[in-house]
Amino acid sequence: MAKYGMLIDPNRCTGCNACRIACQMQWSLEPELNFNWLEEHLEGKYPNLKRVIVPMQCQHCDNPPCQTVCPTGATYKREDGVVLIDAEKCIGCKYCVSACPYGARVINAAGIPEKCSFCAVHVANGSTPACVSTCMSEVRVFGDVSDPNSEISRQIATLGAVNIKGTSMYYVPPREMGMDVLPPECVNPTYLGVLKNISQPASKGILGLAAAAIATGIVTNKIIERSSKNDETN
Amino acid sequence: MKTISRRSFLKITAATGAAIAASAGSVKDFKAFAEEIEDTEVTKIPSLCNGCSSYCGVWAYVKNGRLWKIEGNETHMKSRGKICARGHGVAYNIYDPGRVSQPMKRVSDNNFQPITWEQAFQEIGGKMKDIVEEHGGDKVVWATHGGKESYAQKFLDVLGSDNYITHYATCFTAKTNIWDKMCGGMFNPDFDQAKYIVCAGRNYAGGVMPAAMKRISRAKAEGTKLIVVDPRFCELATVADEWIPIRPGTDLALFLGIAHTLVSENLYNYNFIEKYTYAFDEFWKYNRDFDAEKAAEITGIPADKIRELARGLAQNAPQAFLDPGYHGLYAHYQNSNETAMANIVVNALLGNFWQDGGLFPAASTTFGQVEETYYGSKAAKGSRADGAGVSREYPLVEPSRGIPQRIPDMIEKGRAKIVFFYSYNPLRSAPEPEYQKKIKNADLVVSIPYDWNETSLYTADYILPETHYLERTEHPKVINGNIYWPSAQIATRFKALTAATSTLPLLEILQGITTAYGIENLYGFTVEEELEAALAPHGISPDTLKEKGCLELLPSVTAKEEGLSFNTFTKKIEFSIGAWKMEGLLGVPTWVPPLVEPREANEFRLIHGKQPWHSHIMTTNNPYLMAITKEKNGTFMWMNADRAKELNISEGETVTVKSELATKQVQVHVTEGLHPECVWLPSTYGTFSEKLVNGYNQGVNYNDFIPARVDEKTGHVMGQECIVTVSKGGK
Repeated sequence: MAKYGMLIDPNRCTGCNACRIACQMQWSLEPELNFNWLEEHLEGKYPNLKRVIVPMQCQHCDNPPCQTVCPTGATYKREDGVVLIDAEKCIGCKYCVSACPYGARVINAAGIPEKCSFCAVHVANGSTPACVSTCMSEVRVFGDVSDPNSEISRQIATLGAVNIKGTSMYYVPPREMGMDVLPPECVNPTYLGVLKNISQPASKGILGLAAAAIATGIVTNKIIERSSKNDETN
Repeated sequence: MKTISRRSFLKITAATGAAIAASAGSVKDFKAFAEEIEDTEVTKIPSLCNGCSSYCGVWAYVKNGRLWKIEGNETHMKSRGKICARGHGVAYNIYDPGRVSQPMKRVSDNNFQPITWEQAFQEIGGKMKDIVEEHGGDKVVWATHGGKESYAQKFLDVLGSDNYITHYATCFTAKTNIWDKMCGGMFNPDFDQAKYIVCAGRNYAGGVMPAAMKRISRAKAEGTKLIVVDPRFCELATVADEWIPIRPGTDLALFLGIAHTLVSENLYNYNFIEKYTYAFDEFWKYNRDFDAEKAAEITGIPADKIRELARGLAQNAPQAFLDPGYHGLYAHYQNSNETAMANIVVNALLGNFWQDGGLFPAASTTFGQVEETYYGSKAAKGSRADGAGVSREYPLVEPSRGIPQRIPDMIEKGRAKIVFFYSYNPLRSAPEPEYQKKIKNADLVVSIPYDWNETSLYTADYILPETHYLERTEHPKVINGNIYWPSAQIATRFKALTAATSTLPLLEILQGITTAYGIENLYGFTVEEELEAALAPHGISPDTLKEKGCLELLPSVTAKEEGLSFNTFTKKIEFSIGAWKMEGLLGVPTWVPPLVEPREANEFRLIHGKQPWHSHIMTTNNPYLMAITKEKNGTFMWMNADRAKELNISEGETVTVKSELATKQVQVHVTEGLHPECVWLPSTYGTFSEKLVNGYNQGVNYNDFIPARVDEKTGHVMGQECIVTVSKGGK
């Protein structure tokens, strides 16, 4: 069984945003719905500057908090590592949106919290994820990390990429900045599972609002911390 | 720029999701999408992107008669399998609500009446006939963005007009004109084998060419050094080994300083200079005192750094080059021409012409011609309405490029009576829009756009909407230039989608107009016949081209040591331009200062550049690309942090920007990444056609602030010879 992963080299990214719109086209998304995005970090004082642009998306966590809090099992993780959503089981409670440590979920017009699927359906048909294939600077490599001979495995070794702990993602350490610009490791606190039980909705459409509020409080701290780093970005 | 936090972005998304859904395609969850993929047949048609002059090869994926997505063509030398954000956006423009859906006739100020194609052809043909009979066919002007359109010339030939004018003077004519005069044509950089690259005036990651970035990234991974010289910490500087900010308008001094170091430290390729260049001594006679110290004084770059650049280039030569540049320098300054000259001198001193990792001419090829169907008369050519190449007017300006920024003058002087605009919008893309609006004073203005651009809305008597590029088949193009590739390539556009609106390809529009005008059978062929005839000498069928998308010929331009010949009078690179001397000018480059300088505490030079996700001015109505702009505060004007502090201006604050021509309000991005002497505007924004609702009134455009000037030698607009004052406050 393959184990899918993605390697990202922020040192090659110039911020063109082709990955974002190529993904939007691939998935027929609305203009304001995007499954990937770029976080820019600028440091220094004129004329000595460093800029690193970190491509971000769903990290396809090993033990996904979004799955843990999902009361209906709509969010599931496949054996090959891909985290997906079964829209038919989704009741629109948005716990997953709150629980995601990376802010990777976006809510589509049907009320379903969608996200990057590693283009699993297209990969199964033999193609490459749209964000990978369109990228002019070849920032991204996608593939089977369980196969030591795959392109991604070789590149991870060559470039000294690090696995974001608890996820399917590998990032090359930024040449000019600290590791703290990379996504944090995925932490799935045990109490997240409890939320699902106390909030098990009786039927579709009734939300465990209190539980949602708690979940939101738990995870937003991390995100606020992340976005505050973007004070000087371009 | 403060980036919107992901959290607040999600809130906006959630709130607006429903409203957006109503306007665009259906939203699908993963499972529904997967099922659809299984069930729906997808066709894959090759085309060429219309987002910029790169014409990248694309594959259009079509399902259920609707565009799904595009991907880059693997073979095409400009895309190499990659497509930039603009490319995806321009493809989606097929669903742009700002498209003109059928022919329009102006009935009053900014009011148009939809008419049939037949009525449009008859009225335009009839009016043209009357005007040409009274004033002559040389009063017809065809103004175009340029690129690879090849039909209009036939019409102008019959009419006796020599007025085919492109937008290039607003973009890069100082480069192409000078390279032609000194080297006999353009030479293009070979990234793959270069060891040391200096980019000044060329941001491959902003004015994106995907294959260039792919090749630069790979070269860098192999250890190639990349130095970026730019007043702005641009996108390319992000991945460069070094960013060297330069005082805007002084790149000429840097190049002369590098040249001086190469010569004075004896680092140059003596053999190449002896064998393949002319008038080196004349160059040196006028520049022997212009050393690195002098260059440092002018550019603000330390002399040691200038010498370090020269030595770095020399140590790696011939696998080293100073990039020939593009829009970043070559239409902007009083010294743009001399800057291009000095660029050539530096590269010649490195002896990198026709060398791996250096510079090469474009590989090219020719096509077969469809059989001539017109046997009627052709009027004698009149003189150029813009004076390009005309003695006592602009003798040194290339007529093949022309002077597009002065069309209102041509109209006022009676030199132009009928003006066609094909895929060209000078009201927004040329300087001084209020002046450009006078174009409406022509006897007849016909615009052939795809959307409701400003030129159509404010000046056209008739708007004849062209199909989107994915809706038409075209005659084939030679794919070459801008970056080195050993082989010429052949590609074209094949019709991927049926036009939902009443639009036509240019060939059919010209067939209609010329027939109504009374010219028999000028375009008596279909595009399919033309395609077949063009490809025949290559032994390629249109079907083969359609299957492959892009075909590569055998390599024809590869490295050579001996027997170099340049397409100039002396067959050498001419350091002194003979045509300039004949006009009484000095033939070699020497230091020329910029025309204007900022002096006061609130004065700045206004410079501009491209954002990687917008193409020129034609994507500001694209909802996907404008969503990125909103998220990134993309319309903001950049200002150096120290200067902003002095003026007490903070991030996001609205300020008033004033030049001799215009006063506008814009929000400021305070940054460490900009030279203190300038403010920087993205060149995309300032749409003022209210019919382009997504882009309307978003940001300002540099063209608002600059006069429609003409450089005497190469016709360019001097687009950054503009001082603005910036003051706090505004609406």
